[in-house]
Amino acid sequence: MGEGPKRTRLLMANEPRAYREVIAEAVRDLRPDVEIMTVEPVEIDDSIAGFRPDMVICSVATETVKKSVLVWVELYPEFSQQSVISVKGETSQVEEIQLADLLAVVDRARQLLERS
Amino acid sequence: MTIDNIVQTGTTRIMLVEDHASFRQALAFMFDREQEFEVVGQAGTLAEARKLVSNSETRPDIAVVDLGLPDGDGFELIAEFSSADPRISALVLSASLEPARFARAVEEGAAGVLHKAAAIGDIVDAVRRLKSGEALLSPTETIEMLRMISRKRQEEYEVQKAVDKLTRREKEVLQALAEGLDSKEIAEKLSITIETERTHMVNILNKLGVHSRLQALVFAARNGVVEIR
Repeated sequence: MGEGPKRTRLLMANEPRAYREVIAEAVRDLRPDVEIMTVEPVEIDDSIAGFRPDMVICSVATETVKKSVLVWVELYPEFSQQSVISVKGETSQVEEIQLADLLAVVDRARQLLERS
Repeated sequence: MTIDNIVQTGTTRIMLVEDHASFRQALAFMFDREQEFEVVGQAGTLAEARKLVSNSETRPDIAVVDLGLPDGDGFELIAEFSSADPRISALVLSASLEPARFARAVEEGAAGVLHKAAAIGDIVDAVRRLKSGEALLSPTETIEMLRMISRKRQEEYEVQKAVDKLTRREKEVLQALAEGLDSKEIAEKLSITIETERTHMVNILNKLGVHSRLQALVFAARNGVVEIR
């Protein structure tokens, strides 16, 4: 028997904790096929090594995130309204990012995983 | 919906005032999926929140309010909620770590304050407790917060009194000090003798209640008397 489709892995390491947990909870409900791990920002690099996420949501993208994760979002860096989305090295800035925008990025990560 | 309706349905009507849309929308989703809660309105600005509260259809039992909004401070809103309908409880959810800001929120009428580092369960728990009429802050905590804000006001008053005593010339001496000039350079810049510069400085130290040029500079910079370029 072959393996089922690989689940998209989302690592959430953004601050503050309320944002991280609430957004993770919403994504869990709206995209039940996505595997989500929430960690403190200081644990981000270690968690990438262990969890091997397809997507990361963080407040500041570390070098490890930039080098080893295909899709990442810098959500409200320094509490600004300007979030950054990076998909396969293509980076764009989004003003006043919506929950729907985050879900669209999750879907994009899933598509990339399916194609790989 | 009237209060009688609320009692009948048993749902807690929630308004979310938060300018970070993705967080606000996720929080709304989280509350809405629970039968006991109903998110009656979402606002990203003070103006949007005012509009919601002025409409009885979107008037909440609990307003979860961020303090830093694009068009002003959430403090104003908390006071307005109390005036519009004293039954509205405001729960502050802020990224600020300044106790004085939390204290100010309580003074304006907030029923509870939470930092955004709080866990999801703490937010839900706080809303439930407020709805059931439970106080989130003990009388001791409330009194301590009000005392803190009173102390802060007194300090600000003392600072303003000291600044008001400074003459225009003394402020020019402080500005020159902020530009990194020493006594001789300040005297040259202001076309005065070194002795006069020193007299000004002694007067400045006395008026500000500090003991050194460095302390005077720190006081002046902290309280906007000088510009550090």
